[in-house]
Amino acid sequence: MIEVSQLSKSYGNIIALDNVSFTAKSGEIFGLLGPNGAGKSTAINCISGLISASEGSVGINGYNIANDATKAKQSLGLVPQDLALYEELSAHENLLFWGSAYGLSGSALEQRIQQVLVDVGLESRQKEAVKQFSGGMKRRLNFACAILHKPAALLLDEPTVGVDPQSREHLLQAIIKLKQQGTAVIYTTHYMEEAERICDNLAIIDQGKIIAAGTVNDLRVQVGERDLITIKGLFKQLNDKTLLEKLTAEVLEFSEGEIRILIADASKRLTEVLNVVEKSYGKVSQVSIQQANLESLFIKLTGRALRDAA
Amino acid sequence: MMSFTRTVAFNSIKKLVKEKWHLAMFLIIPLMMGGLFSLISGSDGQPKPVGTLLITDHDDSMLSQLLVGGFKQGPMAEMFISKKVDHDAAQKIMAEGKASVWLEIEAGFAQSFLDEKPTVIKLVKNPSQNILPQIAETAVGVMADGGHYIQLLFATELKQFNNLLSGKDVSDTDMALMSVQIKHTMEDLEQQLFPPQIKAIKEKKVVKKTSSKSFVYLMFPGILFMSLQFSAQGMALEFWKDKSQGISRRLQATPSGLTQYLNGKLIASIFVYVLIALVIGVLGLLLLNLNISKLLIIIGWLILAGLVLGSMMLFVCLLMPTEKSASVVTSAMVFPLMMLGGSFFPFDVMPKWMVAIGQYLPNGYMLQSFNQWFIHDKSLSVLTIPTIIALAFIVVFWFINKSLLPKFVRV
Repeated sequence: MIEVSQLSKSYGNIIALDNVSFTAKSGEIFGLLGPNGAGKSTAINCISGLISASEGSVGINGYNIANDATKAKQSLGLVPQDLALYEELSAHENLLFWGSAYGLSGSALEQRIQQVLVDVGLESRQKEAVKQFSGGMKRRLNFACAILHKPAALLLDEPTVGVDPQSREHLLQAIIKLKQQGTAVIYTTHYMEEAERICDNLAIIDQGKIIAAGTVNDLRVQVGERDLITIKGLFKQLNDKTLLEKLTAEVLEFSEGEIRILIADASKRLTEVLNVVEKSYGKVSQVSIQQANLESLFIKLTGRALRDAA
Repeated sequence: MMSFTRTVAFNSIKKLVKEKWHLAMFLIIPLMMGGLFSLISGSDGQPKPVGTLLITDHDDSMLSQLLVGGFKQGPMAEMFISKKVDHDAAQKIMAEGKASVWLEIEAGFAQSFLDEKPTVIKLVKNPSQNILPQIAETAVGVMADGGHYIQLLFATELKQFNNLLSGKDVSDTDMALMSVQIKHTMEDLEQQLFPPQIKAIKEKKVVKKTSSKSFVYLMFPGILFMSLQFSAQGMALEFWKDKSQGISRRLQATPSGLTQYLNGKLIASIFVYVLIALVIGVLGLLLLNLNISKLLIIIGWLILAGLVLGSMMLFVCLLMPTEKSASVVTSAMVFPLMMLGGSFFPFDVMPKWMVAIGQYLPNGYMLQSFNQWFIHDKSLSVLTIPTIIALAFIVVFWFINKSLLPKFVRV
C-alpha cells in the first residue's frame, strides 16, 4: 500500500505540490492524471524518496519514506519517466545491475531476470546491447528493472511515452498482471484512454493540486452524459455567450479562434449549434465531437486540454 | 549490499572494456608524448648523433699524428668518428655528403713546422651540416695557433729536436743543453707570468649532481602520471555519464543508495590505474630493465596517486552544472597540472619557478615523491610521509564527494 498524506513541495515561491493526499491499496492501480507540469512527477519523486517533501508524509508498505527509507525502498519499485539504463551494456547486464541494487544476487537474481524478461517480451534479446533496442524495447526494459525484486508498491511515471503499440500493450499487460499479484501501483499519464482502461482509482492533478478524485465511473458522473463539441473559426461579439447557453450547453471556452461546449446528444444537435454560432459569432472552419470521457472532465475542470496545458 | 558495490565496479569495468578506444586513449596519448619527447631529447642505449671526420695524412709523421690525435681525445672523440682514408676515397665520400669534415695534411708538414716554414692543413667542410664542421674548423684553428706559439718560444729547441728526428747525430751535451734551454725559457716565462697580476678568486661552486639516468628513464614517471591524470579525469566524468543516463538518480530510489555506488566506482578506477601501471610498467621492464619488485611498488603508488587525482577530479565534476562544463573544466585542469606537475617534462629539466609551484600540486607532489625513490634511488621510506598525506587526502575527499553526490544526482 502507498499512503500519501498532505504532501506539499515548494521550490522557493513556486508551489509544485499543494497538500496532496491519496492512497493506492494493494492490488489496485491508482492513476495520477494531469498535463505536463501539473505536479505528477514531483509527486512521484517525493513518494520514491528522490526528493524530500516540504510537508506531509509518504508511507510505503507501512514504512515512512523519510524516516525508514531503506525498508520503504526495499518495498518500492520505480519506473522513471526518463530511461535509466546503461546503453553500452546488454539487457541482461542492466538487469543484473538493478537487481543487485535491490539486494538480489546469485541464482535468485538470475531466475528473476529470466522471469521479467519473459514478462516484457525481451527474453530473446537479452544479450544485445541496449543501444541497439528500439524506444519501445528500452521502455520495457526500464520497466523490467523496477520489478525484479517483486515490490509491494510500484511507481510508474508516464511509462508509455513515445512507445509503439506493441510495446505499450506489453507494458499494460505486465502492469495488470502485477496488480493481480497484489502490487499497489501508482500510474501517471496524460493518456486518458490508458487511464480509463487500467486504473481502478484516479486523481486529476493540476497546478500541484488534486482537482478531482474517485473511480473512473465517479469521475464520469461529474462530466455527465454530455459530449464535447470543439468549434474552430474566426469569432466576434465574444461578450455575449447567452445564445449558446440557451441551447442548454455548458460553455467551456469562448475565444476568437475556438469555442468549446459540453452538450447532451451532440451529434443530433450539431446543426442547431452551428446555426447559432455562424449566425451570432462568425464563420466556422472546423468542428469536432468528442464522446464524454476523462479528457472532457479535465477540460471542464481546468478549461484547458490535457496534452497542451503546460 | 557489498555485492552492489562489486556490481557497480564490474559494470563500470565492463563499460570501459566495451569502449576499448576510450580506455586505450588513457595510455596512447601519454605513451605517444613520452615517445616523442624522448626522440627529441635523445636517449641512452642508442648512438648519439656524431660527425664523421675523414683524415688523409700524406705526412704520416709524429706531429701530424699528434694533430689528428686531438680529434680522438676528450669531448672531440664524442663528437667525431675519425676515419683514415686516402685522397680519392675522401673526395668521393665528401661528394656523397657522408662525412662532416675532411682534414688533409700535406706531405712534409712536420718538417715545415720544425723549419718554421709555412705549411698547409686543408679542411673541407660538408656544406649541408653546420655545427660539427664549424667545431672541427675551430679546433684546427686552435691547434695551429698553439703550434705558432710553440715555434716562437722554443725555436732553437725545435731545431735541435728536428735534427734528432731527422736522424742527425745529437750529442749528449746538445741534448742536455736543449733541456737546460727549455728550463730557462720556462723560468723566463714564469717571471712574466708569476706572481699572477690578476688575482683569481677561486669559487667553489657546488654543482648539483645531475642524474646519470637516461631521458627515457627520467620521462618514465611523467608518462605514468600523464596516463593517470587522463584516466582520473575519465573516471570522474563517468559520474556525469551515469547522471545523464538517469542511472544515479534512479539509484536513489533503491535501498543500495549512492555510497556503495561511489565505492564501486572507486574500485573500478583502481582497476584502471593498475592496468595503466601494468602496461607502462611492462614497457619499463623491457626498455629500462626495471625489476619486478619495482613494478609492484609502481602499481601501489599509482593506485594511491590515482585515487588522489581521481578524488580531486570527481570533486570538480560534482560541482559543475553540466556534463560539458565538467568536461571542459577538468580538461582545462589536466593540461596545466601535467605541465607544472612534472608529467610533460621531468622536474630535473624544468625551470626552478615551475618546480616550486609544481611540487605542491597534488599530482606534482605525488610524482616528486615517487621520483625521490625511482630516479634519485632513495630508500622506500622516503614514501612514508607522502603515503600518509595521500591517504588523508583520499579520505577527506571521499567524505566531501559522498556529501556532494546526492545533491549532484538531484539537480
